[in-house]
This record gives sequence, C-alpha cells and structure tokens, in this order.
Amino acid sequence: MRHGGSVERGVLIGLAGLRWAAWIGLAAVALVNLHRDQHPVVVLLAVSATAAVTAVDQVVLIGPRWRSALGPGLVATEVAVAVAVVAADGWVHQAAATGQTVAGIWPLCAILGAAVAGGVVWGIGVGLLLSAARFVAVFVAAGTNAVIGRDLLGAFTTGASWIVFGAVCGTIIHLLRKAQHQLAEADARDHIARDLHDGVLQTLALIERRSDSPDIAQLAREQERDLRSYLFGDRSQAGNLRTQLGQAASRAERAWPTTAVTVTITDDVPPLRAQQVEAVVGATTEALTNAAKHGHAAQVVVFADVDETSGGLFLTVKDNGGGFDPATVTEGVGMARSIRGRVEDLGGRVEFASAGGDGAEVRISLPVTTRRWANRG
Amino acid sequence: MADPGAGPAGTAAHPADAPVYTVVIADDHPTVRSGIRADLTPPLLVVGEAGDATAALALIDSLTPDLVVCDLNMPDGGGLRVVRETTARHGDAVKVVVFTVSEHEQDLLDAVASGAYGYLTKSTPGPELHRQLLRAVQGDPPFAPQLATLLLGEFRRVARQATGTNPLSDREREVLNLVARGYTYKQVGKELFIAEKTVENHVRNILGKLHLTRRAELIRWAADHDIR
Repeated sequence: MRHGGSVERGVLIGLAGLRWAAWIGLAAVALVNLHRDQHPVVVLLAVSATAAVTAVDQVVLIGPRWRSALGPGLVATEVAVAVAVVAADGWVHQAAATGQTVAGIWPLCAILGAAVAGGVVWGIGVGLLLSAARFVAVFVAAGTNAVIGRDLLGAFTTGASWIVFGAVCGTIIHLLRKAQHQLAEADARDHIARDLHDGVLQTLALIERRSDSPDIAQLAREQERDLRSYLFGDRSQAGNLRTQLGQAASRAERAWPTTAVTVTITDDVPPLRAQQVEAVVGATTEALTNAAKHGHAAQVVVFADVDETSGGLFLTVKDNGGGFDPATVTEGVGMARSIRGRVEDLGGRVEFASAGGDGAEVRISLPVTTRRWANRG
Repeated sequence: MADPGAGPAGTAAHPADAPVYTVVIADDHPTVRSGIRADLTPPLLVVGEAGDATAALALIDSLTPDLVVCDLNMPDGGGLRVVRETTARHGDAVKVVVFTVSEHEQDLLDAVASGAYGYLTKSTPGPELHRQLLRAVQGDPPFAPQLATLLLGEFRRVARQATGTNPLSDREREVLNLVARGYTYKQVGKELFIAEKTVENHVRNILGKLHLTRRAELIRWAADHDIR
C-alpha cells in the first residue's frame, strides 16, 4: 500500500531543507551587516524568530504528528513571522546598506508552506500579504521623504513574483494530490478486487450454476461480467472492445436464455477507433443472434486477437449450434447486410464457415492503421 | 472430513460394476463445495472435501483420489500449493483440475505450469462441469478457451522478450488458436486434418512448454535479483 499523504510529507521534508538554507542565508547576511543596521535588536529578533520557526517545524516533521506542520497554527505563525521580517526592513534599512533585505528568500518558505496546506488560494493570499508587507517596508523606509520610484518598482516586482510563486506552488501541489489520489484509488480498487473476488464473484458464479430460474441465473451472469470488467478490465488497450463485447454477450444471453456466450480477448488486440469498435460490436451482435436464433447454439465463443500478419484485428464468433452449409444456403439479409456491410465498409473482410451440424463460425478481419501494438510489452 | 456417502441421489442409472472415479473437492467456501458435489454424479464420486491447502493435501495423500477439483484462492498457500505438491508426490496419478473465478493471468499460468491438469471457470454450467471432469479423469485435459487465449498471449510475450522465436511450433500455435476460438478437439482435428488424439498430444506439449518457459523465467528472475 502506498502511504497516504506521501506527497505532503515529501514536499514538507523538502521545505524544511529550504527553510534551513534560507535561515542560514538570512542569519549570515544579518550578522555580518549588524553594525551597519539602524536597529540591530530588530535584526536579532528576526534571526531568532525565524530560527525558532525553522526548528519547531523541523521537530514537528520528524515526529509522528507531522501532519500538524500543515495545521493553521504553525502555518499562520510562519506567515506572521515572514510578514514581520519583510516589513522590518523598513526600520532596519538593511537593503539600503547592503542590497539584501533582512528577509532574504525566507518568505518563499512561508508561501510554499501555505500552498501545501491550503492550495492555490492560500498560496496567492500569503503572496499578497507579503507583498503588502514589502510595500509597508518601502514606505516606512522612505519616511517623510518621497518614495523612490526604483524602490517601488522593486517592491512591485518582488510582490508580483511572490504571488505568482504562491499560485504555481498551489497548482503543482493540487496536481500532485490529484495524481496521488488516483494512484490510491487504483490501489484500493486492486485491493477490493482481490477481496471481492472470492466473495461476490464466487456467490454470483454459484447462483449462475445452481439457480433453477433462468432469469436469476442470467442476472447473476450479467452482474458477474459487469463487476469483472470494472475490476479487471478497462485498463488495457483491449478495454473498450472487451467491455462492449461483454455487453453484447449479455444482451444476447438475455434475449436467448439457453445460449451461453464466452468472450475471450488477448492483450495484443490493436487499438481501435470508436467507429471500428462500433462496427465490430454490431457485427458480433448480429453473429450472436444468428447463432442463437437460427443455429440454436448452447454455447458461443467470441474471440478477438491481433492478426499476426497484418497487425489488424482478427475476431471470430464460433457456436456449437446447428450450423449451415455455406455452399447451399443463401446468406440471410441479417448476415449479409449487418455483418458484411459493417465490416467491409471499413475495409475489413468477413468469412462464414460451417460444416453442417457442427456449428458455425464467423471470421472477421479488420485492418488497423496504427502499428503501436508491435511496440508493446 | 472424508465423506464417502456424498454421492447424489441419481445413482440408480449407474451400474454397480462400472468404474468409479474418486474426487476430492478443495474450496474454502462450503456452499461452493456442496454445489460442486451436487453436480458430480456417477461415475464421479466425491470422497472428501477440504477448506484449505493443508487439509486438502492431507486428504489427497490418504485417499489418493483420481481427481482433485481445486480452487485457487484458499487459505494456507492456496490452490497453487495443492497443485505443486500433489504433482510432486503423485504425478499424473492424481489429476488436479483448477476450478476458479480467478482471471488473474499470473495465478492461472502458474497453476497450469505447476502441473494443473486443466482449468475451468466457476461459471461453467453443472452438466458441462461433469462432462469436462469426466474427460479429465479419462486422460483428456479440460482446457477452456479462456486459458488457450491466455496462453496465446503468454507465448507471444515470451517470444518478444526472450529469444525472438516463438517457443511453439506452427502446428501448436494453430491448435492453440482454434481452441481459443471455441473449437473442440474433434473439430480442431477435422480443421487441421489430424486425429483427435494428435490434438490432445499437441495440447499436452503446449502445457509442457509453458512449464519450461515459466521455469526459465523464474530462474532468470532469480538471477536478475541475485537470489541463489
């Protein structure tokens, strides 16, 4: 089983690393320039507050309750500290002296943390808050003097990039979560498949075999087929064809309860266009009707595979019914129009085979232009 | 829980001196077992039932039945273990037919490769089950079209991955293809102008080759993963 929330955990571990790197940068610049700053105490406060947040987040992450690193308490604290540190530059003037603000890249950690916790909205929100703090710093630094255009532009650029950063992080996290959710769902499905397999499928098979009522047996058979196609099918290239042939088989069995239809498909069937699937399923339905209605077949096997020489589709419908003699029997309207017509319209070929009394077989070959099947496996 | 009195009601039609084939049923669901038992009219005779692999193997060793009808998904190592150990201890004297709802390709192929004599799905109607099991016990492996289809894919995969040549002969491929399409052995013989017995031999050879390729694959896998 995949670990639930592994996306969050992974990002948080990365974020913790980033936070330490940001803090080391922040502390180094601050301490080296401490003598140039106007309010060294504020700088020291900033260094210690960020150190505290970094350490607390790290400790929480190591422990079993690592999820609380995403809780509103820790996220809000980090955002508050980031806002304060960004705004602090207005009083400290570190940027004016060194070109480096007090905050450095520290605010990115707060944005990323918020984006992990609350998605795009929180990411953008915190980006906006920090931008506001940045403008506060610029205005406070200017004091009674007019604000310098260059500083304003700088604040604007930084603020905009923070907001974009928040949005991007939120989106990526959202996509990662979605992907993880899908994986978890597939996992859960496999798991359920294994469990149900022995329960529900067994029961349905038993009902099918033992029920005195053909209606109930038929219902069980349909349910079994549907459940199977949900649990085991649909993920291969053969999925769509498999599902639709299965449905055609169920319809035929419902219409002629004394006929049992088995559908078997190899994984090598080439991918088909919707139009091709429709034609093949239509032709199969017609062949099943013929087998049941005219051949009075008890069993019919529908088989689909790749045509090894052409790479196209090869499909057969074989029954154990009365059959017919292809030499003497004129093809019925149903066979001629529905089977031949559908298949030959798409460039395919149809053959009817029967040795009177020994069942009949309809063989369909359909060319497929893509050759992707050759690269599979 | 050997149960010699398990023969169903309709025994009258069966003459007393005709051969009787003994069967052990292994399935963890009691309802499924009683369902199978109801279908196995003479000359098939259910002599014992087991709900897990260990119990099944003990029964098989003490009763040496002609046939074992065995589910794949069972506690204690499952049907795969029953197949493997029964084949190792009794060879062809006790034929194990896998009777399952499973369509997990690997399980099935492994079961057949481990020596399962045949494979049938649980949706097989009662009379058909009886017919197929009777054929099995008389030496004709029951071989569902679904399994033939799986084998077609499996051998193709082996050919693509390993040697580039298909381990099956052209004739064996034709046989497999026709069985997958629902042909009976008799019809396969007619179609290919060979005797029904020859078709059976081809099927046996195909199963033998599956056994070999699965084993070769296991060995290669073990080597790749540095397991000695």
